[in-house]
This record gives sequence, C-alpha cells and structure tokens, in this order.
Amino acid sequence: MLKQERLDAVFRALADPTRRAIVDRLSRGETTLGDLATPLPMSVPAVHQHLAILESAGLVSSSRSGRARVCRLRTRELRSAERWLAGRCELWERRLDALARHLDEEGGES
Amino acid sequence: MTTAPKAPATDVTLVLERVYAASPARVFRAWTDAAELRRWYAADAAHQVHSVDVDLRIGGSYRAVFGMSGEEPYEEVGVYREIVPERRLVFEMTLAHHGEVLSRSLCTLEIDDLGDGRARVRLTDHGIDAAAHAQGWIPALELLAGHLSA
Repeated sequence: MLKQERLDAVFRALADPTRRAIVDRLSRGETTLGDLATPLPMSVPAVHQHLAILESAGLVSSSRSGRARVCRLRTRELRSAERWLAGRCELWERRLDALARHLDEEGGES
Repeated sequence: MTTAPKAPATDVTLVLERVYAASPARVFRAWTDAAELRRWYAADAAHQVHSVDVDLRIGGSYRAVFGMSGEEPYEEVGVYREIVPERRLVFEMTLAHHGEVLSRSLCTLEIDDLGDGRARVRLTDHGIDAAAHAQGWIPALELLAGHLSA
C-alpha cells in the first residue's frame, strides 16, 4: 500500500486546477515548460512553481534539453494512488462479505 | 445477503451497503465485541486476526492486529466518536504497517432494522486527509481515472 504522506502529496498536487491542467496536457505527450505556460493565464515562473510541486509529488519529471526544459508525466504515482483508493474499497467489501459468513455461521439471535 | 450498488473505487468517500439475516443487536455486537471481531475482521481465510482489544466508549478505541501468517501484520486503531447501540457507530480509523500510517478515515456504521430478523448495514469510509482538499478531489480523481484508463 502507498504511504500516507506520498499519497497526501499526490492529492495535494492534484487539488489545484492549474496543476491538473498541466497533468492533462502532459498526458498527451511530453512538452517544454514554455509550451505548458502558453495557454495558462500566468507567468512562466508561476508555471514553474506549479511544476516543482508536481515534480516533488512524483507526478512529473523534467530535464534540460538545450535551453528548454522538457516535462513528462510519470504514471507510477498516479497508479499507486488509484490502487490505494481501490484497496480501501476492496478491504471493506471483503470485510462486509466476511461479516455475512460470520453471521450465517453463528446463527441465532442476540 | 443482497448487495446495493457501491460508490466507484476512485471516490474519496466510499459507501457500501449490505442486508444481513440478523437483528440490529446481533450486527452491532459483531462490530463491538472483541471476541466477535476476532472471528471476521481479518476478512478472509488467508489473513488472521492476531489480537483485538475494544474499549467501547466515546474517546475509547479498538485495536486490531491482523495479517497473513509469516508476514508483518497491519495495525488498525479506531477511536470512537459516536456510539448509538444497535444503530450507529462512528470512528476515526488509522491503518498502519511497519509503524507507518497507510490511511486515515472517518468511518460511519449505520444499522437499520428491516424487521423479520433482518438488518441493513451502511458503511461509509471518508478519507480524512482528503477532506482538507475536498474541493479538488473529485475533479482530480476524475482526471486520475481518465489517465489510467487511457
């Protein structure tokens, strides 16, 4: 299971609409910081700050290519978060099923 | 036993329902008696409950240690916030492994008497830390679901 703090970082990073827009754009392929910033209503340094949050949550990675900064999406943390969410549901489903078996076996009234 | 439709797995708040052929009192006891919990809380034959302690009062807690044999067990602690015998139980649940917290939720158990010796159980699990970012969660999770299915 995913550690709570890593999960918190992922969801905190995704709780911002600008960062979600960045993740959405990168899901269509890697691109430069400049390209990411173009459609957004803020300065490039502001976009860079959002990118830093996404990188530290492990959702995006970037590297220098000449004078440009190329950014790409990392799906591993997204998949881990999704598995965590699915895991909680599965745990309760299995428990409620186990309760049914327990009540059937025990039988009788209180 | 019947199963009501459940919330999708990507939802932060999970709501699960079941109908049991048992009285509300019987169901409530299964959830609050240590000896009872020991027999079903591990959820399947591959897992065992190693220990359960229950201190059923507001501010008191239960502690369950469970896992697969030979492996480091999980520790679950639930602090009771509301107790309405045979009707409702609210607890803040923390699940840990290797001393690290894996998840924290506010859980609500509601028991409805359907008569004829049957009870409906509704279990709600609301991720506590998620609440702090409530506004962003749903669109963020839709985004997750979209990307992972792409």
